Amino acid sequence: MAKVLQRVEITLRSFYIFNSSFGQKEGQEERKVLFYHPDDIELNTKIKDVGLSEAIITFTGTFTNEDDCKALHTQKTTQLFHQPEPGYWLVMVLNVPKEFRLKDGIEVADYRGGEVSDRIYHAVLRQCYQMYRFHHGQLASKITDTPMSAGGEEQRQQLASELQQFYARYLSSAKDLMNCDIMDMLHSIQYLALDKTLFLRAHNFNMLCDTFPSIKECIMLYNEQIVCGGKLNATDLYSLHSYILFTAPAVSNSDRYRHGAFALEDSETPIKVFIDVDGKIEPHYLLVYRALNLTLCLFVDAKLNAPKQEFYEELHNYMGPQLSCLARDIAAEISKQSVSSTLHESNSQDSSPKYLFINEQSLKHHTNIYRNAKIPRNVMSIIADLANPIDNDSNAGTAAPTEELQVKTTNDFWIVKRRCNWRQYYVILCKSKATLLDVTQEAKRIFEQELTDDVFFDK
Amino acid sequence: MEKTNGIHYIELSNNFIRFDAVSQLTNVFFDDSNKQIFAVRSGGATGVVVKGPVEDTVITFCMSDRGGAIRSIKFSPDNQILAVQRKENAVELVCFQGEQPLLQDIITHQVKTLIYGFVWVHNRELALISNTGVEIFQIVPEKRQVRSVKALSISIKWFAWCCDANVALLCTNEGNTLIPVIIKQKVITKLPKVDLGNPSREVMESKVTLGRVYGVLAVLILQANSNSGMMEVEVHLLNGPGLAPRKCHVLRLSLVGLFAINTVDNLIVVHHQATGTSLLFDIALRGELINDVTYHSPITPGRSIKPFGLKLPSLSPDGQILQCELYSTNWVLFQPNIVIDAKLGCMWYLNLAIEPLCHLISDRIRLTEFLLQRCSGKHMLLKVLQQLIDEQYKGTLLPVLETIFDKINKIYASWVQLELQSQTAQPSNVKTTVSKHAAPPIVLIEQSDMAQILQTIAERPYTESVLMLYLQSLNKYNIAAQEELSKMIISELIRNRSFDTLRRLVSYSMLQESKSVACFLLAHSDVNSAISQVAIDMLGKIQAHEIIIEVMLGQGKVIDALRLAKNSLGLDKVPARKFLEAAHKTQDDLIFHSVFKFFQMRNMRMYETTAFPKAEQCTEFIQHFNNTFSADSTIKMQIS
Repeated sequence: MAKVLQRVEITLRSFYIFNSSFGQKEGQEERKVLFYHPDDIELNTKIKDVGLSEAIITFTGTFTNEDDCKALHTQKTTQLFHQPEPGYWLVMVLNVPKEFRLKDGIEVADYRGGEVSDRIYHAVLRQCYQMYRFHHGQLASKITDTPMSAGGEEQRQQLASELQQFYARYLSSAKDLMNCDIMDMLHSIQYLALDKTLFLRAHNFNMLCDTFPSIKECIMLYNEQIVCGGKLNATDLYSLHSYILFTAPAVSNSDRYRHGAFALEDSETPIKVFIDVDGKIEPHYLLVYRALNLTLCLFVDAKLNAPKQEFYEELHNYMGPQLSCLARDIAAEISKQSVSSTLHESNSQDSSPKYLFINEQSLKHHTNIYRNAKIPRNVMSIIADLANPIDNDSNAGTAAPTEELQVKTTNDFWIVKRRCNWRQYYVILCKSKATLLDVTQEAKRIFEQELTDDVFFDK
Repeated sequence: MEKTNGIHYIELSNNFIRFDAVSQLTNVFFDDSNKQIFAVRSGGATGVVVKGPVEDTVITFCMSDRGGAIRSIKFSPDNQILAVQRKENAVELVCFQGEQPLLQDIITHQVKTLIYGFVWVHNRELALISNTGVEIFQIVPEKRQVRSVKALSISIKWFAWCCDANVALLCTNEGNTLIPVIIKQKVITKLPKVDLGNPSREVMESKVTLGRVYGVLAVLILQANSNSGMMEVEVHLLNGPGLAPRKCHVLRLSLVGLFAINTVDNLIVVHHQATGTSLLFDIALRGELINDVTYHSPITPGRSIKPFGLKLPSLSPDGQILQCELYSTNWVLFQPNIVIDAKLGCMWYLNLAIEPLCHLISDRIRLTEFLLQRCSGKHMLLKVLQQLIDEQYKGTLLPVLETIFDKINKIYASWVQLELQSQTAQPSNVKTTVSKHAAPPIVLIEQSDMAQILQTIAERPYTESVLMLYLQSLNKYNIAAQEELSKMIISELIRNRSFDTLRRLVSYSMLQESKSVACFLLAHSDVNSAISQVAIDMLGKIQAHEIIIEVMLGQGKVIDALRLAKNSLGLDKVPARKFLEAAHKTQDDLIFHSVFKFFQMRNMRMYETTAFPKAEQCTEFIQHFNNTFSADSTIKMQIS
């Protein structure tokens, strides 16, 4: 096999949003394009790309439902399609990774399209939309006039400029596409494991919502982990989580938050976010309050006036001492936990087994995948392919069947998957000479050792 | 002096005792040990009527007037010997047969000292307290003998007696010290003296009251504050090492004048004659702490005793009602809560009217603390709680509720702990001492009580918060949630769609884990699949495999159910017919085939043949199998 001279990882080629109904007439095709990245490209190319996508979607639509067009693979690119709202399409075009080899003295590009996992990147695309919705609400809600009218055109332009503003920032700060993995696909969140007394204390902090009726929801995070998710649905919680992580480094001034304080941007009014309340996407003001390592996200009904300085002060006086006390207790608890766990892991090496447990119902995961050495891409892709899509609506009522699978990869990794009672469990082992029996036993050992909070009755 | 300002928190009991009022002929005595009131007519010659402790128990007899006015008269605890003191240095002992005295057998016990008083410490033992000390005598009626059993020699000025605790407080001549002494059968125990602070301080008999508060003997001394001149009550509790008295509390009366003290339901009641009011103090409540001494103010501003109308005996049916004069100068008070009007011939017990009192305490946390110590407090406290979570509910009250729950559960937890200890079997080598069956707390509010109240606010917007607070409080004191509460929490969480909280409560085992609760969850699983996940988790935790198998069969997951059945029940106990029937119902040939083959293999293993035993009644399924998978159709399937 020829030596690899150079490898170019997966990159974003383009990302665009369009709605065909805005440009039905000939000569108005550019109106379909609501957003196109990169921006510095000829308009004609943009229109052509959108047109091609439209064609592909319509073409596949003749065979299946219109919604079923998900991905298109070419030699050099992978295109992903997502229609979050009727008529609105998000398309992401990726350059597949390529390797340059020397063949007969000539440099040849070898495109590795197979390394791109549709499911992972489709989830990334979906998240692009979710983040927009979290900040600005639904796309369709911006267009109230008929699409082709003058009013509609004005609204379209406004939407386009809003999209431009949002995505320019979002895409530049988004995670490197190369590193997207199973976690980005499942949109699951790691919860903080707490002693039950502390959990109840943290949970009952929710009574803030009763004391201050304008507060509709209250979410608590500790560092980057969720303590209490309240009643927010999993998608919004994930978006909130990404937003908090995204803004956290900018304001991680520990001194300021010793006694608790609001993390306010310079502007007077707090940011507005859109969350799903009983099936309706409604705007709320998001107030972020920090005390030591605790972050409290308060959602204030945006139908009311924006909260004033007095409201902040009242809240601060009320919860500042309690929250910093809780933060200290949680910190003490965590340091206790970490003492015992470091003893446990002192002998772990790079080749130590990795595990990933996901509860499909709560989108909560528990993993050590990010510790020590990284898992090779192909293993990650296999997990992504094995993972069952998490879709809360379709399988309501009946539990997914129990599954057990063992996969051996070409580079001597074993993946053991179990699924049971809406939970998925993966154990990744790296043992070249292991037999099926060894793998089964090792997996069983890890299930028993790590699965302490959830029940797995079919051990 | 009659003040009817609406609310009265102290009242005279309805079960009062009438007796002949004091007159020229009649003398009245009260024995606070037996709570008997003696009406003695003409020195006993024309009759003695003994009533008490309730109106119905009456002893009537006559005895000869043996000269000298009666100073004191008391029955032994079994009412078999009557001790009468007529002279200052002698006590007569009259034996009784039934309810009549044996007047020919009077024992006159004479001593050389000045007798201040006597108390019965046992059916046949009498303690005489005189100017030279305390002496216990044993009476042997058969031999007409009085034997000295025990004596304590000490120079005494006056004494006070507390019959509940068998403690006498002696005021000595030397140094004016107050010494508590326990006098029991054959034993006299001297306790450390009461520390009066100033050695030269002299305490008058009338200023001292002995009472029992929260099971501890208290020496209550009335005295004027050295700065303000206002009266105060010093409370010395005998709870130090070796029962040493310690000055623990000071009750600020902020009044001057004459006072009398009672204790009612562990409350100290200070009556003020001039204003006709009674002040209530509870030493268990928080006060101002200065140098280890707690200074208390009255629980509420003073109010008078509830006016009492005495129905006079009359021939006409409506009768006449006499409004009794309250705080009258004819009143004599005895411990703990006895009021006697000698002129009227009436004896009452003082009672606490708890309901009006609750309206006077507006601080709900303080009210809870107060009610938790009252013997009739449970009903009221539940009522107060009910109001708090119902009509008075406000979001801002949640922290108050949290504190109240903690206070209730702290007591509940200590009781649960005690019960647990008494239930755990003791090792056989430990001598089974008469297991002290611990008395339950004064007010015990159990989960079932709370559940009843909480039930009434079901399905309100704030119910989940209240329930979670209660659960948190229970958890704080390590009390597990019971079925009723668990189900209520589950219902509210489901109603509010707080599935994540539900999931975490179950994973932390904070709800009761039982088949009944799990089935309750299962019954709601149509709302959201999260509930059925949680239900199965719970069933898994309690190893209720048979229910999980049923659930799976119900969902048509026959293979999963079969796998679980094989692992949990064992291969030989899996009922073939049940699974075959379920597999048949799925109308999925593949599943039916797999299940059928599984049982054939089981048959092979157990009976060494693929045939099913007759007892399993599987004929119809064997037939179905043969029809569906007949030899040629199998081949067809393989090809296709």
